[in-house]
Amino acid sequence: MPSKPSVTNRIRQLRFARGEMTQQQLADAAGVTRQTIIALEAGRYVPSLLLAFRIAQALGVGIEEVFCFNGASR
Amino acid sequence: MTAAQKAAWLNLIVIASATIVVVALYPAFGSKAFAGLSLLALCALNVLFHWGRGRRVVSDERDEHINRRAVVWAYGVLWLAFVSAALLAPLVFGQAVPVRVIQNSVWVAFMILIGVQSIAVLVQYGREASHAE
Repeated sequence: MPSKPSVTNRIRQLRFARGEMTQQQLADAAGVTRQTIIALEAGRYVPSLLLAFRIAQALGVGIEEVFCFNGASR
Repeated sequence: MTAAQKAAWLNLIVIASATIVVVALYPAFGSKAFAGLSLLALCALNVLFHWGRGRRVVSDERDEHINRRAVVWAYGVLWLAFVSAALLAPLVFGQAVPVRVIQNSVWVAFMILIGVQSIAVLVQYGREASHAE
């Protein structure tokens, strides 16, 4: 049975790597609410491509360093 | 708590208050008690939660997704209620459904729509309550 594809992220690790950046600071930089950052870190929300780019930009890294697509196995 | 959650709670409180007022006044005032449903206009106050506060973002794409899903659920429940009411009305009232029932059904429909939407919004946000710092 094929597993469901998912998108994981390293937002939490990258936040701490950038001098303990708070969820609110990242939210303000990316133009979203803090609750959205919380949902992203918990893996409960997959962002749009535009928001993914904004978050990567706010963290100062490329989008592929933040998000990882785990495709469905066949 | 997000602006959408505050708005949802306000809607539920207003709906509950309007229902309580109508039920409380009905024995004394009869059908005039339905004027208490005008309290539902207070739902309009939820625009206050969506006004911007400084540079901080009030709602974003995730809030829009949650709201869109909540609206779909609300219209689904409303449609079921509408069909059920249409099927049951002749059984309850015979072939002459009172005009008062038709008039009040508009308010009931509004309460179902806003109430279910608000509950759906709160349920969706509730699933993400942990992991905050």
